[in-house]
Amino acid sequence: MNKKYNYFGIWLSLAFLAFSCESYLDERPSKAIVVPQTLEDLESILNAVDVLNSGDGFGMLMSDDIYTTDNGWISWNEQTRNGYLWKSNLSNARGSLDSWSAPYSRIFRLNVVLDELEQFTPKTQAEKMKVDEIKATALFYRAYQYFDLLQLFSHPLIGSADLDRKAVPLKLSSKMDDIQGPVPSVQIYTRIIADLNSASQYLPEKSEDVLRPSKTACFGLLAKIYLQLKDYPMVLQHAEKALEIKPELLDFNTVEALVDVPLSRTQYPFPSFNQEVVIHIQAVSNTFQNSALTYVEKDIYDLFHENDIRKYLYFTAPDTEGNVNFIGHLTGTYLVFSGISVGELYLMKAEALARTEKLTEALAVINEFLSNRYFIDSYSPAVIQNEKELVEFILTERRKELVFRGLSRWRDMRRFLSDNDWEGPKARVIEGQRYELGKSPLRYMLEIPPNELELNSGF
Amino acid sequence: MNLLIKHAIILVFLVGITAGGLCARQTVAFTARILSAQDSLPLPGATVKVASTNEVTISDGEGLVRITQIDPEAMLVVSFLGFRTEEVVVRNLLAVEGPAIYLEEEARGLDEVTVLSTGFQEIPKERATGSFVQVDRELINRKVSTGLLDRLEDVTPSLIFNRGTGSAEDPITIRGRNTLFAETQPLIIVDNFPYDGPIENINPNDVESITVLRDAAAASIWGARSGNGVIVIKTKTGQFNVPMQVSINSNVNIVQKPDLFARQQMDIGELIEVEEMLFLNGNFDPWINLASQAPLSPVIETLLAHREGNISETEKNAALTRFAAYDSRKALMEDFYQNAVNQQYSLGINGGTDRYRYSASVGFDHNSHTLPENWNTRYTVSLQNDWKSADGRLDLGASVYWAHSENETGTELPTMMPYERLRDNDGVPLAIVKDFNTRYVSQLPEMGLLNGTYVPLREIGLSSNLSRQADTRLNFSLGYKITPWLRATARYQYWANSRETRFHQPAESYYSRWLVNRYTQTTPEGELSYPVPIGGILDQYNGSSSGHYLRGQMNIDHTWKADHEVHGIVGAEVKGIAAHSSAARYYGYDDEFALSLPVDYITRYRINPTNGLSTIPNGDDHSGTIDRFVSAFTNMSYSYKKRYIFTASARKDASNLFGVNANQRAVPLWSSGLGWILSQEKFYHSQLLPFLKLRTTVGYNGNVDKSISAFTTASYYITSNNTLNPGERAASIRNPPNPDLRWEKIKIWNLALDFGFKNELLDGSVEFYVKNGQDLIGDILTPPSLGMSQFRGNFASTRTKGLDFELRSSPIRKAIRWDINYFHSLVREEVTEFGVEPRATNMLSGLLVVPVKGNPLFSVYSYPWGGLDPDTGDPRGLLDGEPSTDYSAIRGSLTPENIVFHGSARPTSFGSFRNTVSYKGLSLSFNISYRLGYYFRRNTVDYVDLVNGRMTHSDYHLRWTKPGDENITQVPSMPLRHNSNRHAIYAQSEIMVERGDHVRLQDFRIAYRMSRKDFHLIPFRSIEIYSYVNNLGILWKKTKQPIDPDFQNIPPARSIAAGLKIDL
Repeated sequence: MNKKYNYFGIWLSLAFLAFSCESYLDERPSKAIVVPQTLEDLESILNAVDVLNSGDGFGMLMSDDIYTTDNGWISWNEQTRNGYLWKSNLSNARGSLDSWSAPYSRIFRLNVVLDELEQFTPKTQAEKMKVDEIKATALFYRAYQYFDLLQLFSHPLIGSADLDRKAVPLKLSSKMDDIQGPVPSVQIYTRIIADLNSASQYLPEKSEDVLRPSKTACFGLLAKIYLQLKDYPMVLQHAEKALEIKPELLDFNTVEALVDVPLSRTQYPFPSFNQEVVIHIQAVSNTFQNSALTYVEKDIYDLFHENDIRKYLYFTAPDTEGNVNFIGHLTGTYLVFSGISVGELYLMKAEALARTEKLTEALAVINEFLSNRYFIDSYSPAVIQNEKELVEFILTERRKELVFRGLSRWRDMRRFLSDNDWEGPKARVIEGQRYELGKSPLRYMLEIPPNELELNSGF
Repeated sequence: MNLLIKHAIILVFLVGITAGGLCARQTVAFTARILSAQDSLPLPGATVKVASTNEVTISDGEGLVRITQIDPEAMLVVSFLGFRTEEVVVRNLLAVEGPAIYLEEEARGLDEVTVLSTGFQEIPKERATGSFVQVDRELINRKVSTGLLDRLEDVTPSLIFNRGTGSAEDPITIRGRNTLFAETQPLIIVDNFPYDGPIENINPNDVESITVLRDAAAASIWGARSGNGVIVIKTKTGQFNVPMQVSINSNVNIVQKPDLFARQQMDIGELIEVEEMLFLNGNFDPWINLASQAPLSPVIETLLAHREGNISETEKNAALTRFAAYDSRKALMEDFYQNAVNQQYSLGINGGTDRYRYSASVGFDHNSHTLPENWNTRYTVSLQNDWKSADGRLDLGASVYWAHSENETGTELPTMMPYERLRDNDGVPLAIVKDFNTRYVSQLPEMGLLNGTYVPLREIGLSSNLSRQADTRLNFSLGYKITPWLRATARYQYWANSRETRFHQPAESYYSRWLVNRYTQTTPEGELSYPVPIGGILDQYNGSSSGHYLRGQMNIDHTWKADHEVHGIVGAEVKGIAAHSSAARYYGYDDEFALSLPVDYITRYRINPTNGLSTIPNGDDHSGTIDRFVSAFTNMSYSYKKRYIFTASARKDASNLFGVNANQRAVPLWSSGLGWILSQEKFYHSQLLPFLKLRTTVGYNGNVDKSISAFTTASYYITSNNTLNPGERAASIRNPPNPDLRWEKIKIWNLALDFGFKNELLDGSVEFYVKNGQDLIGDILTPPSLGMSQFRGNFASTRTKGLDFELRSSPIRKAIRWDINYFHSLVREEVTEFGVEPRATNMLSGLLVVPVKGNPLFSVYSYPWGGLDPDTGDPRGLLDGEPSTDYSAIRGSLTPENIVFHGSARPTSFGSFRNTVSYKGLSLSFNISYRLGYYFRRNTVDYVDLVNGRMTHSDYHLRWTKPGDENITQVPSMPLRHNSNRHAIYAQSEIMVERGDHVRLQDFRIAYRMSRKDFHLIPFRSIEIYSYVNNLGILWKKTKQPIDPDFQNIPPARSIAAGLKIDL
């Protein structure tokens, strides 16, 4: 176009004659703005990893990982305060709730990519492969977001009928006139499982860059989904598939920060993108996550044996009242990790084995896992013959390993509702008043915010 | 000799024929020039009336008046506002060669200018049907200011400078705001073309006139950008046949420093007591050990030191007593702020021969700001030339206008706690709390880091943030008269603007030290390394824009059978502007040697003190934009018997506006108008009201919103330094697709009456208008599951009705002269359609633009007030009609219907009343302006601030403290906890809303002018000494509160100027 610009006079006169010289007016008004069409455009949309590699950062407030004092509670905003007291309407004054709108806004971006890919006709084999990979990446991200939404807004799965309960809208296109009403949980689960299965075909085994989805991440996410559906053979199958590709745990003995323990509130011992990380996804930052007065529930801290390295890498030293802050985020920063780790794969595999009565194998898996968590040679392998005891042992290890991992504990709490041995979380006491969550399934889901209910005719 | 006789015979013969012809037809044709008797300058727009027939002709741009058929015995009445009316018999005029009629200037002229400029053509006011306001040179020069647009304030009917919430986005409104989210500002035309540079580059001394186009007939010729009105600026040109004139203008304007004590603020000692109480209550505990080392006030630090046993009780008390005695406002007024001094100098030269005219000027402005070491300057140079051929058929114009400006804003105002000090008792500059708490800052040196203290007085003048700008306009025009009634013109403008900003923060500056410290890495062995090298930081920005504007136009001016007159233009124009910019940052910069050091932008470093991960911020940034318009336009007027006027205009614009479907790219806009000069009618004989004209117009103006598009668009960016993948290319979705996108249209209907009383005692106009904004860009709420909770499209409409009344009068016109200029503008705005049901809480916040159907766009709403709780002093709202302190429930029960709607937040009527009294060379003028019919929410104690240890309003002292107080006060008791709902129910309640109506003595001007006519000894044609005082104060206000309704915190700074104007 620059060359044309030099011939200003010539085309100007032409413009005069023809009034609207179309190509003159086709110039983009800003170089930075495009109508996304090329594969490069679509890849660039997916490269906004700070948006897409984000999980819910609010729901963990309701899990029994977290404990705060009156002063800590007061310093939070109203939504956070209500969330801590397990109220179910957490929308702000404008009737909106980030935990609802943020995943859908990410889904919109992904749907734009997926819609544009439909229009794209690859010309070469290389282009075809690129198209498949972009599509698989978008499908993985979308499945992750729907999985988060289900954990916050769908009825917990206690009986099989709960799968048929209406959950949330399943929006699969970027069109603004395509308003979807809520669909049964089963429909969303089926869709995201299918999407992940399809994605796993086109993604690289494990990506060089743990910010990008990979086969391992797909299998890991599938295992997590099946765990929620309590389909243990499928959990086992997918955890194993993932571990086949990426079996190496991070031996916590090798973490450099170990020389500095006890650690202060600003020392994050784990390097970012370390060996444990299958995919790096972080919870949206929220003030309550980093307040000096946000503590780890004492009961959990007390579960750690003194030879357990996690006791020193996960937590600050107990203060005068015995309270500890959490610093062991696998993100390597103050941000909460909500991706998938190798340790989590081990724990899912062990649980699935134990629950399918493969006790010896289960024991071997959990022992191998724990030997990477204790000081060298200090771990004596557990010997448990009883299925129930072993499951309990594994679940305790799960509780310890996955503390402060975004929605992880909240998901488990929903999962344990059908378990008669689980008594529900401890009551919370704020300003002398006790608040109990109990085990009523309806209290384990949030109300869909008014701005959705009022405007979506499907509800 | 023979030759002479021959000539004489021919001459006699010719005279005979002419005389014979005269006898036969009883009429003659003649051309005369109307000139000012004082300086022989032509008077364009003078009225020449034939006494017997009342037929009126107006002199053209060069003061020429042509009458084709007239009885030589007829008496002509020649008048021009501000000049004494002359009566001349046609025969006497014909007796001389190049007849001229000289008008004597009256003691001081009224501000009547009758030639209106639309940027496309000049229209005599009598021929116009549209709504124009013209501000002439004298009025422009009445005020003293650096900027041009300021000078329109309070002298331009319909035009208001907005104040209050949201006014930064739309500083100027002409006849109400008729858009919600698209461009809000009027289009600015300088010398026939839209001006795309900053208006600050125009030197007011170079401006001849400003015309404001208000209705469709006036503005629709500017098409898709005319929706907010058009301001047409004409710079000075020379005059043909006028000897060289030189004028010099220079003035100094002193602007007072802001009066910080005007803000109502609670007692500092009590603030300290409150902090102490809160500290003991544990309110600050969550802030004490934050990873971010968040700052705490000196009082809290003192209390903390005491609690931790670092200082004794006595030391603590002594410190608190000391704090209570300090006042940071005093420190800032004494040691930081200064009076601003604005200097302005300009020199103008113009003149012309019979075929050439010129105008040249140079200007220089220098302003020192109220913040020390900050200043700006402007240099302007202009040269305009016009040539015409001997036969007058061809004319040629070439001009250049160049402006260079510099702006230094390196020194910033420190934000201080009210008891912090700038220096100690010995005058040594002190540090104040800034980004981190003082405990952390004091540890920095032992951690091996740089000194992290912030000492405001040492920062003065340390950093330089200098931006330089050069703006050039080259204009060429070529005109050719094809036939006597058809003229072709081509105009071309080249515009270029380049800007450079250089922000240098040397090694000693707080920011550089802060950033170096943030990235300093410490190995376990205690060795330090500096990813951000110790040294200065230089941020550089370079941007340039250039544009080509070309217009071809045919002018038709045809009169036939004396009764029919057609004037019109047809043309097309094309405009293309390209802009690009680049920015870069340099680390370790040493200005002495002009050296900088490379840094590693790739590694993610642990940053102090949070240990978060971040790469070094990279200042690279680039942009490129292209703006293109292609347009065709026409404007025609037909008048019959000079009393019935019909006008029509049409324009079609097309642009490269992104992603609009091709068929919607172009927008056709039109207008038409009717005018009827009643006073020209045979039946009209009023002696009292010799001039009466009725006119009406209807049509469409357009407006563009560049931020949305019909297709899904994405914008590319480079991920920032604290992201997971810093420094990579990524894209985000800008907007979802909207295939139905259209341009905004504003339909305007205008009805006006112009009148003139006998002897120009009183003249003026009344205009009534209705503006309907259609297809306005608005939001509709969408379910968030679509990916966004709002969707922007053509969903809104507005209606504005209004009245503009303008009056000029000269009640005394003797040796003492008294002139009055008065205008009153009435605006009734209403949003008539908006897709989103407003939320009551947003309406109440007062910070957002919340369109509510049926109300003005800017409105004031409040909570119904339920008084104070007699037991606790808590504020009460109303819940189901009963007073209640259940704040969440009250907020939950709010609907747009059950909150209180007070009215518009912007004046619904405004005006000004300007008086000028003159006696000989002395003149005094003052302007009284007023704004009426609007509401504002007054400030009060903010307990959310106070509970967080921040200074608040002095209403604190009126608070409820014990039962019974509720009968004498409405200020709630002090809570111990942050409760924003409690605060909102009080601060946003109906008792906080006040009427904004007020009258201001805006300014005062005194001038003394001596001209050579009266003082033969002075070496100049004339010399004028003047003084101008602005922002004199409020004369009357409706609210009883001791505040300025428009400037609650700090009143507008008063300024005093003195100047000298010399004409050589």
